[in-house]
Amino acid sequence: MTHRYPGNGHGSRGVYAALVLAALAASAALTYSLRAAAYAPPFNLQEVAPGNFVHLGKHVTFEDPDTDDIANIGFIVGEKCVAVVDTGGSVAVGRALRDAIRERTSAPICYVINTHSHFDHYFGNIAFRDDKPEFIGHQKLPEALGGDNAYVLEHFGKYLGEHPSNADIILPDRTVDSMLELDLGGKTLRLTAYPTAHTHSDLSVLDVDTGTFWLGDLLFRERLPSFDGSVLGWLKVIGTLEQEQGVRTVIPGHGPVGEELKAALADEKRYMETVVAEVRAQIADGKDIDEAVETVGLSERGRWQLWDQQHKRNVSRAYTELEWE
Amino acid sequence: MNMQTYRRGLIVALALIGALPMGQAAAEEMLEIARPKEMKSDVDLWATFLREAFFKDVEIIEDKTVIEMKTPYRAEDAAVTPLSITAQFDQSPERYIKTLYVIVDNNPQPLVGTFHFTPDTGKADLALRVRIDRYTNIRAVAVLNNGEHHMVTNYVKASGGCSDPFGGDIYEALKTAGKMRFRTVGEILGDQTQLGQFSISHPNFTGMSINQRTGNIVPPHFINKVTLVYNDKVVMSAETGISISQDPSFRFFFKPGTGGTLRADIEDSKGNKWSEVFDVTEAPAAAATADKST
Repeated sequence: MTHRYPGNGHGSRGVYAALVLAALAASAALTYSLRAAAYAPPFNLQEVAPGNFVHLGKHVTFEDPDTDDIANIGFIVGEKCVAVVDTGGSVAVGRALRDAIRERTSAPICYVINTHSHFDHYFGNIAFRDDKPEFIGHQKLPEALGGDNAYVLEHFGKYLGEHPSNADIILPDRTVDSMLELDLGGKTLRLTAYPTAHTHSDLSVLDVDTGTFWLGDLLFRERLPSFDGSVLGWLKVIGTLEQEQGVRTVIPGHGPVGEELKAALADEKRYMETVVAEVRAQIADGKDIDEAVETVGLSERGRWQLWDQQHKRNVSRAYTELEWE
Repeated sequence: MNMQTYRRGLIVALALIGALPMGQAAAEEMLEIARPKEMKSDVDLWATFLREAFFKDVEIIEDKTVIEMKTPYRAEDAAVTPLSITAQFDQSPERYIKTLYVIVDNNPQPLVGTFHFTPDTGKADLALRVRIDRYTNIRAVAVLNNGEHHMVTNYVKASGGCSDPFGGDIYEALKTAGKMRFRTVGEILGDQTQLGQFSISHPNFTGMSINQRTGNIVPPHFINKVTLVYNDKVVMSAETGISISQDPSFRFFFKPGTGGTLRADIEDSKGNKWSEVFDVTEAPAAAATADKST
């Protein structure tokens, strides 16, 4: 299967002008990719800790054309090389991230780390393919991404290009079953794999020296968390995360960057504990799912964005999990 | 007063009670009725095909005098869409609902299931959870003992329920397949009927999702037969298909009387059979109250 993307680097920056020209030569494909991608510049980026750069995603629905740019993504720069942490929900967002890296350093991109199996965090992987980095993910990421992705391709495939297929979904070259340390040159990253929580394949990245903790979607702030793996599992993992020492900067998968770890986790923890307690009460009281989705968690309404799109689904998922306790 | 239930023990692969009011072959044939391949997805499948395929030469009365149906207008989780049917009168030997058909027009397998009731159960209500593959009409058709067919129709917005990636670990799900639960729900009603909920742990693979470890299509593997018998009387029996959600759950009425046993016999499409017996007794709290009053 050949890809219809003109390689990477269609930005107009310095030493990459040659690449840009090469890309422009493939003009049909390039025109298409610009049209298909919802993402449009400028690309926000901030250095939240020394060498740690974050691009903040938008809180929009999956129906919004900007839904390819909803996740927080970024990169960590060492003396030797660069590690990317999530690549965004489209080839265009991935390319914008790559351009942002190239504005700051010419160090090679050694690693592209995907924090879990949701498209808004990995569709941009393609933009880095020609850098030949090592793609890294949770031990269960290959099985989450490696099958038929008919559903995600049908609904979001346009962010991968004109004829999206399974071949456009890049699987990890290396997986993490519990912990893995990476040396970027003067910077050590500690990757930790978790049991089922937000998804079945959640991975965190800690920049040990600066205490910068990239949590992927194990942490939602402002945007309502979405239940996919197991809400009880997620609460357990939050308990584990809270124990982490020396964290000075917390980067969620969605929402603003925080400083104090426990405080940053507090909102989603309270939301999940509320849903779990109230769903358990509904089950004990003989209420079925259709009643539970109308009554559970209402005290949390108003504290979260995208409530109407996600909350009832969360309650339904929690119900089917908790009724077998 | 409340009834309390607990599992009495697992009986594996016992012979089934032959209490199906309808031929199994017919039910299985109906499950195979599906949109003809050449038919476009935007045609009204009911008008052009399903009505004739399911109910040839049968008059169907579209009204709410026999049943009403509740579904969400927008399904929050297309793989687990709650659907409940409420009978508009109590079951009696003179007039009762014999069979309920549940049909999701635009699903790959439109017939969700065929559910059979008797005059003894009090009320032929039914609540279950279904998968919805795309925007669709959902129909419930009640067949009365006098042969009349009454239909209600709801429109539901949802998509992806049949091919959505399986929510969990396939191998883990198969480990607990066949595990069952039964419990009574709420108070006993004035006419001595009570709501019961029967749940089965089973992945109910549709045959449309993918084993993400091997990349192969997970073959269809689903609960296709459920028989519930309370104190030797059939409460509900059903032939079911892949449009039923993972971990099938059914709510229905029965008449617990002073207690007894509910026996569940289930079967899946690979020929696995499981049986279990649940004791139904008065709850200790209610019994204590009764003691005090005497």
